[in-house]
Amino acid sequence: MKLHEALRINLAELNEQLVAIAATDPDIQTEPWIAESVARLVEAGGKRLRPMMVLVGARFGTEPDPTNVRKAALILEYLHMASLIHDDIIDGAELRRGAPTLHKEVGVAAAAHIANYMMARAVEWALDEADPSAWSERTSRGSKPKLADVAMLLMQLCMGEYQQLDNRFNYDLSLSDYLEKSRNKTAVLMANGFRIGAELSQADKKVNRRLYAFGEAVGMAFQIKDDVLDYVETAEQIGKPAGSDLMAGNVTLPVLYALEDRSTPLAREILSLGPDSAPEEFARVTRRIAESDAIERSLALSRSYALKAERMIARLRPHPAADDLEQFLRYFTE
Amino acid sequence: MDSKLIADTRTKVNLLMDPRTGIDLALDEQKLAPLAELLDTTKLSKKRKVAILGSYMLLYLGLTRHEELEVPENEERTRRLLAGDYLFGGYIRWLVQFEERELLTHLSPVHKKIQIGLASGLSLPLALAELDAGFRTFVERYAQGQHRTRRPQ
Repeated sequence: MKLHEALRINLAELNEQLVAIAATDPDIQTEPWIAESVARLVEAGGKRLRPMMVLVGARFGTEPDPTNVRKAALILEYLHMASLIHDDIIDGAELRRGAPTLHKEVGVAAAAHIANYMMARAVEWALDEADPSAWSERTSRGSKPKLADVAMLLMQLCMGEYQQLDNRFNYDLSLSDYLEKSRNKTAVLMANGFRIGAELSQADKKVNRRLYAFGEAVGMAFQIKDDVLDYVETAEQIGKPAGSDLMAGNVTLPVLYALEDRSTPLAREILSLGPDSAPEEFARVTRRIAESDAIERSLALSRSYALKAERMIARLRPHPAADDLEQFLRYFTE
Repeated sequence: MDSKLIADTRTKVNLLMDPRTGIDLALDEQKLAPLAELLDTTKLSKKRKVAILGSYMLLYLGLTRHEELEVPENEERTRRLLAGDYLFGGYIRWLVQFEERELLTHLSPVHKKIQIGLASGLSLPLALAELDAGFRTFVERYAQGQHRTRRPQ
């Protein structure tokens, strides 16, 4: 069973609403190709994990607010889709979900500005008909998620990318730097997805904190596992050449563990790699890392985050929506 | 021209930015001068003047960072894209902090239409002129008393 089915979420309806955000924009009627580009992006598919996190987080609330919850869910996904356009430009990607990337279709500049349009439209759409209480950073009723949350998320996602960029081939990266980068790149968005849904539905503050902790732990477990897969899976399985992270200079957890004892032959080989190293050198070191105990140690840390997520689920029981969190945990960690 | 307003705004915008981004906030004072001078003619509070000028600065810099992306894939292009996104996030956060809902509501369609124009081939100088016009309209409307001054609760 697919995740959205297990969570009883209508994915087709979410997709229709995502298309409608641009399609209903009166200012874009003179440039219909932009709305068509956005529609193609939506129709190309996507798991819609972020909106599902908001919707599931909202199930923990005490006062349902379906309109604002749905709006928050759609805005998060819209910003995510926009950031993927920029990611594809940065990575020089030619395909996404089997279709040409937007910048390959319309050029880099136009694609970058369509992504910017989507971000700007999301903000305009968020303000349109907005509940005035959704404006301030904190309201007297509770702590409703606000545009400030979204802005903060956007800035943190960028920080994760900056941290990755600034540490290319930096073999002196510390474990805490790696964990912070992973938190900014992945875990913060998941944590906030659950929290935003819960806060909008007036969930208890303790519940909000536990949902945030759950999302963060799941995000960390997932990111570490994803970093391991780059070493142990085949190109067919991960959709890109094995060892892509290392070739791009991304120092991830398996590399950090392999470098702990710098006197080993493997550590010396890693330290010799740089931006100008040959592909076969990267391939050889990738294989050796995959065969080392750095993989099992990395997976052990991923599992420890998954255990933390499980503990959070236990603390959120007997709420029936805790079972939905189990679905997320299984999806990201199995 | 109120150079102190410009200097104070720069200082406050700097506080918003994470220095690790390496984003250079240097923006020629002459670029900020027309809006600073216009603000000077109003009875807006200093706080609101800083809010308006700061948001202009963030949007202006964001627009300029996302130009000239048609270069080979390299680190500079990545940094430009990230800086533009970070500055956009910073602009929203800035206006939320200052509780400038009216300004954000006014600027959202202005900024959006600029992006539509840029995607369709509008030049950067014309885009920046649109931005100037958007800010000018907001400030002039306020000066003529057509704008509500009440802040959202």
